[in-house]
Amino acid sequence: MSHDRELRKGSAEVLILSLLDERDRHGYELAKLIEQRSDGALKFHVASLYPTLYRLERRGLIQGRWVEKNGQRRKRFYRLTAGGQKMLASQRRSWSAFFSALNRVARIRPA
Amino acid sequence: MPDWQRLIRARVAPLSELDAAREADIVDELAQHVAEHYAELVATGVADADAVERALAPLNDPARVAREIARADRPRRAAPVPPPAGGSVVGHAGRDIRYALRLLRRAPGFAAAAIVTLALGIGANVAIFSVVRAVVLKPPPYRDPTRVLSFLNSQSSAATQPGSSLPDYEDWKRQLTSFESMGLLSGWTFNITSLELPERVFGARVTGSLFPTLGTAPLLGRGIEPADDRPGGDEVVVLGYAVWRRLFAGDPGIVGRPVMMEGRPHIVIGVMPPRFRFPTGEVELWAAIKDNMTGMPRNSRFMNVVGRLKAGVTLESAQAELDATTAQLEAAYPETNKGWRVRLVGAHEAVVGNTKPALMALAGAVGLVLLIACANVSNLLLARASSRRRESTIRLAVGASRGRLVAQCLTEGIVLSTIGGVCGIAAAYGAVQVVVAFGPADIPRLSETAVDAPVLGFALLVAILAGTLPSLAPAMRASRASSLKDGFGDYSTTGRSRVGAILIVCEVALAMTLAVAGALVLKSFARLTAVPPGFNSERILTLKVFLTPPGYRTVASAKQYIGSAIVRMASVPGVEAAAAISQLPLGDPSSGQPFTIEGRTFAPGERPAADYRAISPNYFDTLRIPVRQGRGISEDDRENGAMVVVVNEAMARRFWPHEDPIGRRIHWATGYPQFDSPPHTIVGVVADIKSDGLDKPERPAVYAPYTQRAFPWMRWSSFVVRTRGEPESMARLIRQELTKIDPLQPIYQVAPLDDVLAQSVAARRFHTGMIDLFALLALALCAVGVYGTIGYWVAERSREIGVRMALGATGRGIRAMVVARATTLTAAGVVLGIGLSLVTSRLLSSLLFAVRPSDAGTIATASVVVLAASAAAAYVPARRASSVDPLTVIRGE
Repeated sequence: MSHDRELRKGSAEVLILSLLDERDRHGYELAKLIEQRSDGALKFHVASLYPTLYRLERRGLIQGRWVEKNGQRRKRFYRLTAGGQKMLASQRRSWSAFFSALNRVARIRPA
Repeated sequence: MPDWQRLIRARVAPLSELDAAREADIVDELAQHVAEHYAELVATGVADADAVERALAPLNDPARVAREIARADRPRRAAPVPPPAGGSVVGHAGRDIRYALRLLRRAPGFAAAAIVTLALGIGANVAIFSVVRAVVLKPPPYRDPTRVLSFLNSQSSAATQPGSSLPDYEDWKRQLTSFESMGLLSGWTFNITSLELPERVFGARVTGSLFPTLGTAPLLGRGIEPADDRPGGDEVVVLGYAVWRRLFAGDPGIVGRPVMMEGRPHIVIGVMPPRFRFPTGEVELWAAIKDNMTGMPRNSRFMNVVGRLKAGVTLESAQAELDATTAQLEAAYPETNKGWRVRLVGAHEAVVGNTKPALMALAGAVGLVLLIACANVSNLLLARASSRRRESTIRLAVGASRGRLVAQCLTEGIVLSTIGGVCGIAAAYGAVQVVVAFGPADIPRLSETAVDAPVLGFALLVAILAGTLPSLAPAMRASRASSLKDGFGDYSTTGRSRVGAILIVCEVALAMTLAVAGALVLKSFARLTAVPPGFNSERILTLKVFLTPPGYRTVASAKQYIGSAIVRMASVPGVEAAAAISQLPLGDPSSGQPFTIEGRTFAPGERPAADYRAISPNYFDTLRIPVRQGRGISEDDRENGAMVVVVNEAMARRFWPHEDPIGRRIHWATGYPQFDSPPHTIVGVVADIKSDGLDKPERPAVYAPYTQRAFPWMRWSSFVVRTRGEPESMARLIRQELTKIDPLQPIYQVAPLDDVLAQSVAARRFHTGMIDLFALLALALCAVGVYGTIGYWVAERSREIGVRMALGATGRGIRAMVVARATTLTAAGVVLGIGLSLVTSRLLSSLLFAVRPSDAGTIATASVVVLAASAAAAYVPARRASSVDPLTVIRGE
């Protein structure tokens, strides 16, 4: 990814928030889904995913909890909080504005 | 399946900033992620070893991962950015202050320790300064106060400082050319009988020239003027502020109204402002002298004389002129003036001079506390400077001048001391309220203590000093920061330790000085209060009357009142005994009266003097004062019987050292013929008591039956009543009984004799308490300093300690090593402190009693206390040192 750091950070956040908007997920699932849905264009590995998750959690946008199932390792599931929903809505608006502006100027259509 | 947790842990550098539980959670979560990735890879046919490697690949930069996670997981403010170089001085200062504030916010523990330490040091100094200012420094509200001088008389054989005599005053007034004007004041007790209840007020009779000499503008009306003391016309009185508020409810229309005093109407002509006190706060009103006092003898010295120097005349030349006049008077009146010297002293100094040494000792003590506080803060700043050395080095590298670094260090110190100063002023304000409310009454002007503008100015100065001193050492170090090419290594720890060690030795020395002072005054106080007063004060109630005209114009009528008062009080149920005395022990000033001994001749001016105490027959029994020889005063010693007296042991020792005083006869020689004849025969000797103070030896004294001598001072009389129960509970009944004799006579100063005794040492108790409080404070600050320095020393040597322990040193051995280090430093401080206290304890002399400043026992005790406190303070870091895991420490390299 050649976007600048802030853009990457911002986009990572909106990706995670929108995936958690669908349902609660754990870290590996999030990484997997981002890779799958972007057809491998966007990749998060463990060293950048978890710091992002912890940062979002610290800001109160998502909330993690440990879930134990019989015979499996315990997993940490993340859930979108009310604050996270608000943030997601506003990020969606600003990304959308950003892309339409980008498109008007540089004729790039978002995927 | 690999042990993912172990593999992750090995890759992620310890998340040292997080707590263990959180770290474990994170490792667990990362392991879960990696495990799933691995399982998926294996499921798609990747070889096991390859799958492990690919799953772990993203974690191959362990330091970065740990940093990112720690940064994300832990809310941290961005590190403050040091102010840039360049720009104006004001700009620098503003930026430096903001930077210093941000740094303090990021190190709340350090900031709190430094601020509390500075607040204590500054607060104590501000509080004591406000007392010193109120009592000593604040000029009295006289016009051009330095020109107002008091005349102090002294003679080598006179134990107390008497006043001046009227004839001397008149001669001075006539002859001295150095003075613009002179005035005279004579203390007097007034009974005001025009109020709802009779009130006794202590005041003064003054000449018309006194108020113009002082030159204080009245609050209302006018002061007493020269015309007011001439015979004829109205009697006039000027009220002090306190009595105006207390007895007249601050009535603004009081001027022009009459009050009944001494059975005569006195017209109120003025009210003085609150700060006007002359000579002391005890005197609450001033009435003009009306009766001409001609015929008063020259040796009757009880008046206050003040003079106002002419402009341009120095105190020295006035003193020289007065000395010449004194010599003339001595030659002209050897009988009364031989050996008497008169000294001119500022009127203010004359009142507060006695309290000065004790207050200066207190000021010295708080000064030491401040120095200790500064040393502590300096140590804290040094420890921080070491850890911020990297910052200094970078700033030097990017172009900051060394001067800027020093300025930054000083700014930090000043910011700390400003915050500490504000807290200290608040503390001092509280302390001052306590001092004003509970301070001893006999420290003049103590009640004027306030945290006012000059005190705040002083606080500012102290705060600047307290901010600059401690930052000097770190500033010097900062200015010597190495350049970037030398690397970021720590300051030479030995250098840092050396400065710390010097600071600790100084701190301990200062604390030791205060500990010795505290122990000396405490021992003195204990010895003083253990002095037997010579009488039994248990269950004794004391009270006073002042018998006023017109009912008690004659001595006979006063005697009658005293006689019936004793009978009535003794008849109250619950009273064991009641007696009268002219001067209450420890409560009233005693005055020597000259006398001669029959059969001996005395050169003019060398007549002996003794205290005269008029008593009722059962006085010795009531106070349980033992009769050593002969007999006491009995009911048979009546007015027209043989004239008898009883002397105390001091008198017997002084005048009949190898003889039996019983049967000897003495004559009073006061100069008033009506009081002095005829001779009195000594019939007994009683034990000495402490009548002037527990710390003062008893003077020769004569006890005489109150019925026998026609003495006008009879009008002031005190009673002592021994009760069966609590004396205070009897006060109301006894008062009632006395009002039955005469409802117009106020009964005042009703208090248990135990309280009178306690009151006599109140000022000493105050000073002792304050010095001990400061000594404790110093000790506590010093212990904190030792704790901090030794803690730093231990941290510096944690590797060495780890190696020692790995090589078999026991925890006990390590603790001993650390405590030994602390004890070495402390011992050096103690030795230095002993030297210091030997030099400074001179300052304490006014507070010492029966203890030498170099008292070995006291110094030894103080040394043990200081050493013990330091050892205790060092034990905490010593324990920490001995409980480290040697492997962790060694690996920590």
